[in-house]
Amino acid sequence: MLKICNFTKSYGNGIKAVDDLSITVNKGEIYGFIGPNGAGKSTTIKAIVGALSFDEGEIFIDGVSMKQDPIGCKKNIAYIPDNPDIYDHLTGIQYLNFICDIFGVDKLERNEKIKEYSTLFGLETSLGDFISAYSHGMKQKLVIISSLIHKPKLLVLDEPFVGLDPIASHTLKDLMRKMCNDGCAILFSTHVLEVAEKLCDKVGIIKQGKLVAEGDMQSVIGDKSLENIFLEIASK
Amino acid sequence: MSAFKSLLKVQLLSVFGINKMLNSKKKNKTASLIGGCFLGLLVCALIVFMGYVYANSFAGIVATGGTVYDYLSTMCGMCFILCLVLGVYEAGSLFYGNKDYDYLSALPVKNVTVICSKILIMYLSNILFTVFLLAPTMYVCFTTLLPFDIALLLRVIIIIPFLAIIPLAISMLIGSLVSLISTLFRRKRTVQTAIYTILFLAVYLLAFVDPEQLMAVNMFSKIYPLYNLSKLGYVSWGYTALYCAIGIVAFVLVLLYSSATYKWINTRLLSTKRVKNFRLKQYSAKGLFSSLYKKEIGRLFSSSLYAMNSLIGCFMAILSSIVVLVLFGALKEQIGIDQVFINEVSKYLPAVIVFMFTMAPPTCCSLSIEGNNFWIMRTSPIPINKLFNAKILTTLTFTLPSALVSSILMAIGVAMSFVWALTFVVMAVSVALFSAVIGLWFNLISPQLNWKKEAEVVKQGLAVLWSVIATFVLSGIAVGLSYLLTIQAIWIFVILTVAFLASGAIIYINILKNSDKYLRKIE
Repeated sequence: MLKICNFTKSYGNGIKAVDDLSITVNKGEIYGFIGPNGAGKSTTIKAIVGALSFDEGEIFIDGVSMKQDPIGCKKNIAYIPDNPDIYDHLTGIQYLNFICDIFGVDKLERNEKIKEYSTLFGLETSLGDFISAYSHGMKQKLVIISSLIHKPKLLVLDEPFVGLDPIASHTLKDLMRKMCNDGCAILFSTHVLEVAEKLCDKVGIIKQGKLVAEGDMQSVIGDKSLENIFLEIASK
Repeated sequence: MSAFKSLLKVQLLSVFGINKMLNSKKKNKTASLIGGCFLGLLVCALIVFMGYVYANSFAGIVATGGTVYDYLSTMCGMCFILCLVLGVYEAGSLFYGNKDYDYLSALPVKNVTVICSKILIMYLSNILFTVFLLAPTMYVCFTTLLPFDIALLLRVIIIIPFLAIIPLAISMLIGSLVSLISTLFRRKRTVQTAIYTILFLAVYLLAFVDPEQLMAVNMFSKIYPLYNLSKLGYVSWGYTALYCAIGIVAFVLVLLYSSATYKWINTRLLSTKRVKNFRLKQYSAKGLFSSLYKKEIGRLFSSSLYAMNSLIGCFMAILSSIVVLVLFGALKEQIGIDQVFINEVSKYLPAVIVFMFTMAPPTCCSLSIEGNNFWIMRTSPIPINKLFNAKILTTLTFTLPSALVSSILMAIGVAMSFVWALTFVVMAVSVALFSAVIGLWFNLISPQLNWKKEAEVVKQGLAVLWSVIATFVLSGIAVGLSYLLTIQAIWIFVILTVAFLASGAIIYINILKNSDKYLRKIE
């Protein structure tokens, strides 16, 4: 579903934020993407979702190149950023309808999905309020709902659990597993290594723009914890 | 004092992207800085030139029975109105409901210090505009109306800082009251925009729609509260001191009031009334483009500063056309208007249309105003050209009808023939189309997505600066063509129509063809 081949991103001063990165995430897999601060996780994620251009390498979403057909790729992706900056001047329901219009979700399906997910995340009575009145966690929940409504084939999450209460975190983890069982591929970055260890099928550890460890969770961590592996790699 | 200096420094660095230029790691940083300074000086020079044009034209007051002091007070009235119009809707959004309120409130700094640091920039820009208008006025005064008088010059120089402070005090008070009234409603920002629009219309109609008042030597006496005092202030040091004292007292009172109510009003503004018993209903699906367009319209009216600053040209065009209609209607009765007169006046009307519609249209900050929300557009399956078209259409929704109405009213007022009027209307429409496109292009070459206050992009952004320069240059070209070419006005309309349509088309095609390149620049 997601194939990154030799992705390299440099900025104007010649420094490579990401260097020759190759990752594959198949349907039904949850891929944990972890690394220290400034390692290149967000740069990679932004390139995958089409928010950042790149010159070297290729990114394929369900076999379609992001360079050749970015619109086609984006139709299959849902992105949840680390900072849920969304339109303050809209109400929750207006924002959800706006996203549904962008992704072409039909009337019946959207109403059904909005009701289902807003109830699941406890936002159903707040959808009529302006987003400016929402807390950080409520905005995060709204962005999550908006990303799930249009049934993406690839879900990309950047620190999705920040700001979520324990119930919402649990709900999101359940939903992620359920989506994978239905054939979705998920790539998410997190600093909460216990969650990554329990949830992910595969893991990739990036450091200073390079992928330093990658593979099935069990083969990467062995009989140690993910935290121990991470600390070993980060201290080298 | 150091907290004030630090806050002021932070505010000043955000103006016109100065901090970005100073800390740029680009190799051509020095060239950018020099270019930026040159642009700034160019804009100042253009404004001074406009000031000279106004000063020269209003000097006719003396010839029609007024005194030199009527003339000086009229120019002070112009400064007052300019500062008030530019500042009245900015003051509210500068102090109330700002993104930086939370962290400024958490600092160990008094409210009055925060307010003063924010006001100083507005005050400095008021002083600049006042100097740009009064310096040419004094030049005209001493070269054509009076022998040089050092005492008069000194009194005017002393009055300048206090002339600039009074509209500032009024703007702060109005901004505070409008913000407070809006807290009674759910859609606070829309209410603010509506109140500012009504105020603006009321002031303009009070000042400009009575033809007798317009032709009187004390035309600004109704709208400029210290008109008569300023006249006395030019003659007597005692009245000069009184003028200054009134300015200081007014400002101090408003400052104390603002400091006392700063936290209360911000708390009310940042609180929201919840919708009770919200129920999901059946929602209809919209197409991609109509959804984008609706979002753009909503964003425009979600900010009184953005709406007022962007649409002020449309208001001014319609109101100016009403003034032309009323004034020429009155003149027709008093003096005979012949074809030569109609031709001469008609030749200069395009410059008015160009000035009103090219000055900061909504598109020139429509990209920057997306700010931290732009990731939604970037990561959604939205063809970028559709997004650009939605922004252009949003601008045209307001500029096209305004261009039509104002040009028709002007044509009727000046008693143009049908063919002339039709050509003039077509020219006005071409200006509206051109301004929407060039505004977007300015924003694409100078985008600014990282901002904390909307004023940073709506009033202080580089794209807005470009549009101001373009306004002066294009208006100047329109005036120059009219002055230099001894042809009938209708041919001026035709030349300008062709020029605006052709250049607008070239810029639009350039935007569509290079949309990916422009988008990469915003990363």
